[in-house]
Amino acid sequence: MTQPLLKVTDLKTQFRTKWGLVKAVDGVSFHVKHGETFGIVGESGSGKSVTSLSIMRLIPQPAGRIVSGAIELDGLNLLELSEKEMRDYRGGKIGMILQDPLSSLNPLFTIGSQIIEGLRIHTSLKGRSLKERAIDLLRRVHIPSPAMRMKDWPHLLSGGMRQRVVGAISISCEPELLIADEPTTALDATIQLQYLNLLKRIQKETRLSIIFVTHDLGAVAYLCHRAAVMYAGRIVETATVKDLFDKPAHPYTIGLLNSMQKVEKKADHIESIKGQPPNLKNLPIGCSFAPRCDQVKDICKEKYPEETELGADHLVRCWVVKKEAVKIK
Amino acid sequence: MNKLNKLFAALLLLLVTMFVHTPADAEPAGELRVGLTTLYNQTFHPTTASGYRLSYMSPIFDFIITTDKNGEPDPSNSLAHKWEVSEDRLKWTFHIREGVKFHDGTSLTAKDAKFAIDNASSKNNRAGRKSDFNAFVKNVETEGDYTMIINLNKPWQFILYFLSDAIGTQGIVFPKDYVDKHGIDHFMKNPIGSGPYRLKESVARDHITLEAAGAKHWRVDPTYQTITFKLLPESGTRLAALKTGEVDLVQIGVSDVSSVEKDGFRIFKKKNGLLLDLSFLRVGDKTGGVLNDKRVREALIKAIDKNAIVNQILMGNGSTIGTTLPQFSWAVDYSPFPVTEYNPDEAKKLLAEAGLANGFSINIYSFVTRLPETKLINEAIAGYWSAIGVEAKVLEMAYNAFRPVWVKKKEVTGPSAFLMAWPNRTIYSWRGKYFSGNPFSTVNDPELDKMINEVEASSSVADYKKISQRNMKYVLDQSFATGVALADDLFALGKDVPAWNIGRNIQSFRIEFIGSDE
Amino acid sequence: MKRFIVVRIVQMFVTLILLSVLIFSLIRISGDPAALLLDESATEKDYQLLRVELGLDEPIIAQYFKFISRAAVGDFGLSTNDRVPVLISIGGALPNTARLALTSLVLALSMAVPLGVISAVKKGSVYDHFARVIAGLGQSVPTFWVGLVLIQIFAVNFRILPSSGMETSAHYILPSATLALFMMSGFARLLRSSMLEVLDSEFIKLARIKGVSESSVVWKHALRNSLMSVLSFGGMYIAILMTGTILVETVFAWPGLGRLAYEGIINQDFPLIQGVVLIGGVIVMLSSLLTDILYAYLDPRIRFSG
Repeated sequence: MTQPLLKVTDLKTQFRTKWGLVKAVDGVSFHVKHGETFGIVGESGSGKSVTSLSIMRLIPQPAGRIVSGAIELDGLNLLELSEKEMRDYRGGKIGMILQDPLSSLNPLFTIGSQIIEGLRIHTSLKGRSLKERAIDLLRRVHIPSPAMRMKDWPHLLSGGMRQRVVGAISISCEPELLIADEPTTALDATIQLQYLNLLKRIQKETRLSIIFVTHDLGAVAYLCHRAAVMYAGRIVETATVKDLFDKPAHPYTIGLLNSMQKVEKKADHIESIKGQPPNLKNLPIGCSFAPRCDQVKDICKEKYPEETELGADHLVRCWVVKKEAVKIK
Repeated sequence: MNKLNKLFAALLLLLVTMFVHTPADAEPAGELRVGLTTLYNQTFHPTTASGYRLSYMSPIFDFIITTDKNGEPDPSNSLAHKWEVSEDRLKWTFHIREGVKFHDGTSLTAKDAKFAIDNASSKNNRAGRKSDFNAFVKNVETEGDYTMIINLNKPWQFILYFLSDAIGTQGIVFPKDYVDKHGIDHFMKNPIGSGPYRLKESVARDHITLEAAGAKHWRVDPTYQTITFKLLPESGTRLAALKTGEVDLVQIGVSDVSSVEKDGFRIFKKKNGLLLDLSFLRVGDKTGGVLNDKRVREALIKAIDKNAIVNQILMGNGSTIGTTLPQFSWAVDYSPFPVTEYNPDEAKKLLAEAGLANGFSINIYSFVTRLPETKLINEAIAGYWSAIGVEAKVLEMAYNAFRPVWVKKKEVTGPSAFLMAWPNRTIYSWRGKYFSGNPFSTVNDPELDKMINEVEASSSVADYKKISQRNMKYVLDQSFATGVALADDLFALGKDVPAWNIGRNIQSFRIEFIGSDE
Repeated sequence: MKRFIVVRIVQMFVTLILLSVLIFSLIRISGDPAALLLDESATEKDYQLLRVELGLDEPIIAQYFKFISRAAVGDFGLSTNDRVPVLISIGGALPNTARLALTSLVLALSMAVPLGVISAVKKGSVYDHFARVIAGLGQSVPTFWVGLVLIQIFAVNFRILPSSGMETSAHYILPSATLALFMMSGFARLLRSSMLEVLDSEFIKLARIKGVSESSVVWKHALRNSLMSVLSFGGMYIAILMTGTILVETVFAWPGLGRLAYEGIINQDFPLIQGVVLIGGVIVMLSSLLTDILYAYLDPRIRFSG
């Protein structure tokens, strides 16, 4: 097995807030292979966005802090880089797309200058070739009459178009890894599909790896090869998309899948799982999902579940599953 | 050796005296910078603007009559070096000094002097005294180049003062031909006078610079090459400018004295430069109310401790006074009018007699014109009055807001009084101050009206003085008003400025006399 | 944009008319120049004559229409105090005020920008607290007092700057510093809060994601957006600036519009007060309009809307 492109090991990111310490990401490990689209699924507050920002090392300072762990890109631990070295990775080897297309472009700069800014930092292009490259990028994200759009201001573009521009910026410097943090959430349903197709095509063309952060299991099924399900700052299940949908193991994953079938439209708060989303400031001692789990056992309330390997690339953290797996073995 | 030493010493002495001795005909040199609280408006026509501009006008111009340090007409310093008055006191003949030249080289003659009086009588006169000129002057004639005759409608005892530097700018002689040729507007900005200094530059609301018009002048030789009057409205800034040496001479207030002295600057006083008097409003009118009772007015005056006001508020920079007219008025001798005694018990008794044992309430209109301490004095008076059971309310306002009340265009709300700081000058108008129905009059008393008519009809100075004396006694006996204090005008001098004869009864600081040995 | 300017100019005219009515009636209710100019020995007849001479005897409506029809063609009449055409007095004073105001504005911005920006970037740090105290002082300490203290320190104690007047460029330092301190506080506070907001925005995150250096993120991406919100308050600041100059001009004996207005009020000089207030009003409104146009021009969201 070749070395994965990205390997995250035991990542812990915490925030100091007025109400106390929030363990937003608490011991997350996963890896992303070359050319793979890896999904991270979870409700809001599950830690999926913090995980992606941690990879970029863009946790809001000074409240937030990556406490421990390792984030290795091609075997190099990003957490050990200086801020200046890290900047070469941002927008260079790692690109990122943010959730809100309406506010993620600077209103006072033209589309062109915002694309060129990144190119200037990470490539050796100059003058005309910079511009040509930018136009080419716009063309690649299917912006009509890209040369004219270069001089346009962000507010003149629709949300979908703006998200395409952000997409263009994210891939402008030929990154090896693209992190897309809920890139379609704010878009209209029809535009969403277009955008997912765009990502899919880009991924195929460039063979880059994508981390696709979403609460939308449907999008995961459509786009990803493998996915991790996050709950309360931890990954509760990792599997290939096929396994995840065919043989979901964790009660939370099962709940998610059920709710997806029940509610066709997406909602941030999934109602079919009973009880309240976890309070990160005050997590239970044992399994964080225990208070909402209908198969809860005594041990669930005492100890956080160990990792159980259910098959190749299928990991789950649940005492119930572990017991059954042991029985089967 | 001894001889050589002596020779050397003698030589040295010679050398020293050569350099140190300043010859009497020294050229004007150096600059004097004066910081003023206001420059009024910086137009230089004698009668189109305030008569208070004397500080920078008197060095530029000469007056028909110049007063001496005692406030008396001084022919030796006046353009009119001699004058005569007819038996009936209706025809005044003035002999104008020959050889006086305006700054443009033209000669000053009698027609220029006539021009000055015509201007003072014209409706455009904003320097003040227009009404007096209109009332008294019938016409002005000239006889030859150096004789001017003023014909009066009725005897005018004050005429010499109205033509002098004692009360304003209307006695200034300025060139008729030049004004006729260039127009008034041009003259306002580009004045030509006959004084020891001429205007060099005037920057609106910033400064006025004068320069010596020549080495010699018949009235006073200029000491400085330039004199600059700088506008410094804020007292803190004014003192700072003195301390930094940006100005050499500034007006200061009583409260600045100690800090200025601590910094090593000398204080220079114009003794008794301001007269503070307290008048009641609308006495004898319906709105006068309880103030129409003489006993009440007397009680209010007796309740005031004038000594305490001079010593504690003016910090000794002044003196108490008995009259409501200036201390050294030409018209009224000061000595027969003793300062009213401070007697609160007597005051209470008088109130009780008037049936006001339980007191009443009175307004004090309080505003500041020349003396910042006026406010404090008003507070003190309110205190004295409350001590005898009178509830005094101090109404703080700007002077311009008080004027309509004073001239009866705005009614008073009950018994009222006010304290006014007057420049301590020779002339006050009996009619203006006390004649019934006149805008500024505070009293409505037929008896006093009759007495004022009599003083105006007096046919000799001696007569005038006698009747004035009687009138003043009546005003004081009736307690229509009372003088509260005389306050000194205070200046701080920079290190190089010598003390000078600032005079007594004029508003001018006689800046042009600084450094002269007069 | 054209429509916006036309609407604003129409609004300006309406405001000016209202302002003229207000100032015209206010000064006539509160004062009487004839009473002030009257001789002490004057008679009642002299008073009435003076009123005729000053044009105060006519019905107030007639006075107003006379005034406004002349003002419309730029004739504000002669000052009753010194008979100089009001427009000439204003013409002399206005450049002095403008120079002082502009110097102060530049100084205020050059102090406020680093103060506000660094304060926001280092939010909660010692520097932030320090900067906030400085900004708070500038707003809570009276300008008058600041001026006198600066004079005491730099003119009297150290003798390095002149205390008052406006002859040389050195004369500009203390008055503009005083005014700038007053202006700076507001700018710095506004800039800080707006920087905090902008720094938290998605496009700043995107800039960082692109690998843009932190200094470029702050000084290019964030500051430009924050300055826009400062600029959007431009009109208000111009009005504040005008009031500030009145105080500063008195302390530093600066021959500007503020002094002129003050003298006009002291002397009950109706034509002068009317002229200063109206022309001052026009200037405030015009510069407010100009900042709005500038704002619209600099902000593509407004420039290219519709």
